[in-house]
Amino acid sequence: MIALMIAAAVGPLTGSVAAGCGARARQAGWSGAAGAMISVACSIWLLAAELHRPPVSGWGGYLYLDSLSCFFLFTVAAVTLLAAVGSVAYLAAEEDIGRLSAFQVRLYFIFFGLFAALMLAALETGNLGLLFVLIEASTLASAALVGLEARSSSLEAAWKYVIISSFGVTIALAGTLFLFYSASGLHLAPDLRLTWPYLFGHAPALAPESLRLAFLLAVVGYGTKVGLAPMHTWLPDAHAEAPSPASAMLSAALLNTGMYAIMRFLAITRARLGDGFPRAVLLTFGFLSIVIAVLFMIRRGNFKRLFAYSSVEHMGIIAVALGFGGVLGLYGALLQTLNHAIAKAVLFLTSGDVAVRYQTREAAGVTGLLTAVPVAGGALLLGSFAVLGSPPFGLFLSELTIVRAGFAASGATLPLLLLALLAIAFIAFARTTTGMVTGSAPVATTATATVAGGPPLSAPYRGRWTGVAAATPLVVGLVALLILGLWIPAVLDAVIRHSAAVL
Amino acid sequence: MQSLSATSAAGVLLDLSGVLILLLAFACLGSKLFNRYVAYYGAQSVVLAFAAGVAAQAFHSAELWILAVATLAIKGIGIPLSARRLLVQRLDLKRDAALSTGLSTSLIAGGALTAFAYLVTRPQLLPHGVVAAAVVPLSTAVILLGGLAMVVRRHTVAQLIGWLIVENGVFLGAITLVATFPFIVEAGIFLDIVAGVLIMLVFVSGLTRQLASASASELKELQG
Amino acid sequence: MSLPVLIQILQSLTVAGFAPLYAGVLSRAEAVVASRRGPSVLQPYRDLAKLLRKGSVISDQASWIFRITPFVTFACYLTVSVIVPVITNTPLPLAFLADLIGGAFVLGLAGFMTSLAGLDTASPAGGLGASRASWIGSMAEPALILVFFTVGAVSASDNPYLMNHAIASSPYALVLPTHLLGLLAFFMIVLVENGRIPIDTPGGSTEISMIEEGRVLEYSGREYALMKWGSWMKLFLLSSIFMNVFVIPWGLGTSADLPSALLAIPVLLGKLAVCGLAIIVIDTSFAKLRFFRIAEFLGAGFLLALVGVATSYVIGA
Repeated sequence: MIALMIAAAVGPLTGSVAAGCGARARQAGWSGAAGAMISVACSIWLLAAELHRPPVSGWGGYLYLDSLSCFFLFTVAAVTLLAAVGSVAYLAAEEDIGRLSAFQVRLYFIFFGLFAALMLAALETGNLGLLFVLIEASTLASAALVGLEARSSSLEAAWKYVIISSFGVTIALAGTLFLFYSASGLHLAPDLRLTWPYLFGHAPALAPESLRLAFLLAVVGYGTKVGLAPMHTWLPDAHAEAPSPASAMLSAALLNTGMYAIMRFLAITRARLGDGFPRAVLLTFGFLSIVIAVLFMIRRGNFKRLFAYSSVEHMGIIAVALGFGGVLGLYGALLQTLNHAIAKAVLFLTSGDVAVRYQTREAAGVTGLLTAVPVAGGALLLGSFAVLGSPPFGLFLSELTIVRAGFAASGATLPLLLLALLAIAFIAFARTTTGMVTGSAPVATTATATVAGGPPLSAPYRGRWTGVAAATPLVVGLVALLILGLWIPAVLDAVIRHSAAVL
Repeated sequence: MQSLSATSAAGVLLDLSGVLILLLAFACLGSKLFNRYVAYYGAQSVVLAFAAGVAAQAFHSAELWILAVATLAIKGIGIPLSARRLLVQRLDLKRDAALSTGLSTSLIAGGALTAFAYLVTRPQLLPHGVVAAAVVPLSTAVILLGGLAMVVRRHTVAQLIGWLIVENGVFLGAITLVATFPFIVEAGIFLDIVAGVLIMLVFVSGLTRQLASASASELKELQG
Repeated sequence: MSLPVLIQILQSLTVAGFAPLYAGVLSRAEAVVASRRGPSVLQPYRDLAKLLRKGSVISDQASWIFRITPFVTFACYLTVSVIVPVITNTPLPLAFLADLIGGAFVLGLAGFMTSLAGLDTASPAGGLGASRASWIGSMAEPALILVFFTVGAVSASDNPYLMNHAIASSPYALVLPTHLLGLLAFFMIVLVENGRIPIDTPGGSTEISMIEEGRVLEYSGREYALMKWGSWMKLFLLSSIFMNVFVIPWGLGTSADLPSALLAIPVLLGKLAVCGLAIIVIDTSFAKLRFFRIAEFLGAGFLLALVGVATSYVIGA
């Protein structure tokens, strides 16, 4: 069991090792993808194994696994796999064009594997202090990815990211300290190390005042990592400036890891303080995030920024779902996490494809995607509908569940407000993406290299497998979303129920 | 958890160290010259190492001794020296008058944040039995002051040192939980800080190469 | 005449008598540090004797305020000399007149009258000095009040004698952060109130810096002697409050015992030597602050006192 957990966490490091040994983009990428495949397999095995057994704890509480951890492990590993396969195509294209040097490519794969491994490890620990250490370390690893292209805008984004995130996570560490203070009335055996299961089990004995403060600090602190407003200011810049597969990882995996940390704190707080205080805090931050994200989505500009704001919006929805609480709320939150992860990964990988072909990140510069590149265009269209919550994709079901939870928990105003905001988001987002997908494609010119009028449409993928690698994650992701929208497998249903019961 | 009474020698020394760390945070907030700013941070880390040593002595904890020495070496001496070398020699920067608000305004805001921190972490808030309960409001105040320093300063390295002041505050608070913060976590936090500083310094070097300055007020390209 | 009354008169005589000596020693020591020979330590006495013999010239623009100010300020300083612990640590018969806050009011009255006198003759130096002194005073007062609060935090009163007992009886109180911060803030205020570096050049007559000197520039003869004597007494009093209440509360006599009170006088002079040493070190190490930076100096003092008061809530002093 423990060996499986370690394998799941360490899997993505194969890509790092390969890159460290000097492999080129394709080789390092494929080895990374293979490692991610191992992680996914291990996580599915753990998921099935954990379903009806009590949680596993090892190494004095440093390793801890219950259904919730397994669920997030699976989500993050799946995203890692999609992003790893997409990395092969994107990085190979960039390297061949010459926009990234070999050194940068090596750096990318080293830090990519490190980033994934640290996130997976963070999901497997039961010690809240170690959770902070690993999340901060993953922030640092991903900062290298954000600043990789070393333009002034990416350095600026990387600086903002690293300083705001580090500050936020340090606030979360202060929250963890206060959580430990609230537990100081308990008499501890010297080797017990205040792990999450211990605190959760002894929740009634915690001091309420400092627990309140601890929860607030944790939401503000880890909320910075998650992208809840008003701590989200780093998010659009970082997600827009990173290379697209890295953006997919940031948006779909790192945000979820932060949300996992918040859920751990939520469980303890709800056990001691009941529903009122956590609900107020989470609903406030959640709705604030959705409102701000929707307002910023109305601008046309960089389409990766649009996707980033959509991530802020969805994290806000998940926070709102957690705030609503109850069985429906928690179920909806977890389902939304999984669906959003896959959908956002698809979107960002598509954007990588588009960026490589059109050589621009402005939405105004991209037209006629459906006619020029059918796979990417279709993926973008379907992906944007998916992420906006239209049936038959999975997000529709999860958002419906959340709205139902809202009606059950707190009357009619808040869910209706949520629906209204989602509608505005739909209009804003779809306006940009349909503009990108329709229209006529620019003519593919080989002679002109200037960007007057429209950028030349290049064929960036040399080698058959690279092109396949570009398209596969998109197709797989969309299919998965479709399946999740139409039918939730009984296994998944049981897993989610089990995880929700943990909270 | 053991507790130190306020009148024992160790308790008095911890209280004094805490107040001195708070005052040095104010000094950092109110200094205009870069050399002084970095020097005050170094002094603060030295006092922090001293406080860790006092706690290690009181609780006979070898782990805390190691952490105290590491704090002294890395945060008290290493980081200030390398920051000064980076700033003065490479960036040729001695004075950083770039503040978003005036000096007096930031000091008053710092005073208000200190009062707020004391209010929020009233001693009644903490259950009995916590070591040197007076240190907790002080560490919270230092965290808030470090955050203010990050927000007010306009130079990237100054923001970085602001973050390090926040970490100092957290470490001060963590000393009081010596029984339950295992060594691996503390060491992990330490490594995080070191790695963070290294990465940030790399970015600052990149920024200076790109923008010919590392002032964060130049970072206005990404908006909206 | 009963013994306490005798000791009280002795205390006032001590303050009035030794204040010029204190000022003389300070100026001599400053000169020695600067590798000069400097004036004799008895020079202030000679100055007073010379001035008291001279007649005074009063501008015909001046009003009665100008004439009575020297006497009012001298009387204020004598009043303060009976209410603070100088050579005894138990209150003397007239100590009921005021506590620390009352004493601050009386000192404020003296400063107020001096500023008015500076304005009264319509001389530019006087107006300049008066306005500057008022501006500085308006920022020093909040810091001073907060210092009194730290005193209150440590000794649960603002009576200097009770504070003296609180510190003397418990060495723990001496190292309380609250107390130390109040001590530092009070020292900064002592520097400000007496116009020492880094606020003002003592005894200097350059126009750039005349705050104290500017206000008394128009005085001559006997009135000038009283004003100078008064400012020396102010320095003596504030320094002895500083030492006896904050730093070294031991070594004082009692109000019922003449020998101990007499013995306390050389001990007091020793303590003042320590305080004078600190003042000299600061005088010779620092440059005078630019005028508007005095606000930052006083702001720092205010902050120290504020942190001291706040810390008292936390540490539960």
